[in-house]
Amino acid sequence: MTPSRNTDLPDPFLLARAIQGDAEAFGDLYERYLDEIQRYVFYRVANRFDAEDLTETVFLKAWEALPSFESSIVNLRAWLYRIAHNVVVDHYRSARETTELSPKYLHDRHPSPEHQIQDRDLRQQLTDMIKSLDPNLQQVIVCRFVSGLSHAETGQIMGIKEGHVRVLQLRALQKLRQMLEKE
Amino acid sequence: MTGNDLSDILASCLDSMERGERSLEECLALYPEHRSELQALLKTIGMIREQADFTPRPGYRAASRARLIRRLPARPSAAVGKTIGRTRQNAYPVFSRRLVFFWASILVLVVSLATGGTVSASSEALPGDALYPVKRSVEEARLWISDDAGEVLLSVEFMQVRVEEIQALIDSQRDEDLPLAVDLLTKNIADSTEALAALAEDDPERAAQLSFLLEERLSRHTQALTSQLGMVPGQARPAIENAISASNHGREIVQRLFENNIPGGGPPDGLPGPQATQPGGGPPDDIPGPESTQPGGGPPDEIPGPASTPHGGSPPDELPGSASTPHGGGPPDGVPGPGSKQPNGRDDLPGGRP
Repeated sequence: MTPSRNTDLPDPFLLARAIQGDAEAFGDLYERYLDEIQRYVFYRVANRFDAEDLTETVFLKAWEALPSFESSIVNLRAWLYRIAHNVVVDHYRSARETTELSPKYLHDRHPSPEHQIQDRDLRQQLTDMIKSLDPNLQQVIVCRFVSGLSHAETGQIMGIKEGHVRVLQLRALQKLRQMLEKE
Repeated sequence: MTGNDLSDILASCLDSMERGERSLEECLALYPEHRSELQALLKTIGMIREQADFTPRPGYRAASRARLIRRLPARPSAAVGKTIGRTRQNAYPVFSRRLVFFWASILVLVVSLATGGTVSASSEALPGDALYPVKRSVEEARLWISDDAGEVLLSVEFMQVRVEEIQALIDSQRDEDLPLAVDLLTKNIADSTEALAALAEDDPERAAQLSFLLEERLSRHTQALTSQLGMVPGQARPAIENAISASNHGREIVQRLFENNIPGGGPPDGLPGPQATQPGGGPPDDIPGPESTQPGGGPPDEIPGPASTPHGGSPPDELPGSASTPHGGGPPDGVPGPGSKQPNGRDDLPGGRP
């Protein structure tokens, strides 16, 4: 079946249909936000396949939550980012618990020496560096400079004030700069 | 110079560069004492941005869309297949309207007494103001207790409010708040077309009448917003263009809804066609505009209170006269949802494991 394409319809129209259970309308929203949500998740978890799985989880959670958030969804984009934030937090928590049970899990996540050599390009370095930051600093960097969100939007998604975003932003950039200088 | 000062300077530089107001060199020149530090930080940002080009694998998009759709659990009450449907009133089927109106009236009275001043003051609030969520909550409460015809008319009223808010934000150069105003305008348009579609099932004649009003208003908003487009700074244009696009889509949806079944094939008596905007942009004489809001925040003459009958008759006996329902319990604007922060750093939003 050819999926419906309502790519030019504004979010609230597609949302109204998705809330009614129109999966194709939700599919259109998925395609609209896939790139940026997956990019956000990728730079939080630094693994493409995890990012793909988690991005699908984000949209499944969004679908399940749509009816209960019907009247309050004004900024769909910010809402999806917040769900993505929660999914990433759960992913880390789950990985930590799994690691305690199975050390192999962690071992498998570490790249082999061959991969380490292959991955030593700047992008991988930067991704690793961002991932090594504290979660708050990591999120500010990803929201601001990977996802291109404003200070205000970043604050909304993180649930903190804009002034706090600015302070975290400076701290995160200073740390990244130090790491880059060491390389 | 403290770290906080530097964080503000960096943020200010980034904001002005992102808005296209200053170049990198102009920013550095403004803060000569921090030139080297800022330069290094901005270089780091440049590297991050350069490398942040992650995109889904080829073929992933279509395949994952199909997989996601297959995995979506069906909703038991979903009205799949309807062009536009309703959920608000269907979500509370166990309550009779009479009972809902009764309790809504009590709520109006109690909250009015408790927060009357706040609610009144909030009527002038603009998106981004502290009192704006109160204003929106009042609107949501009025919509919640209205029937379909009332909801179309209220949405028409709120659309006009949104357009006026957009104008006020442009006048006060608050470009950063424009996207929220436009999002809300788009939501009001979607609400109105949903309500119209629902009304068309129960009372096609009344729905057809209201469709002319809705189209006319959307047409007028498109004109008003288009006239703004040439006067706003570059960074505000995308928001205005989105608003115009939303108005146009709203009109298309209304036209599609009624293209085959408008009784009589034309506007009802006393109502102009959708393009009958009067010269000068004022409302036609025989249609009270949403701007004719009554003193005290009540609905315009043509727009019935939340519980008015679809045919414009008198409100039922159990209803209060005022339509300004102070609510105060609605969600805040901006990022919605119950955002109670949990100790583990995640928000109380979907995504959490049980």
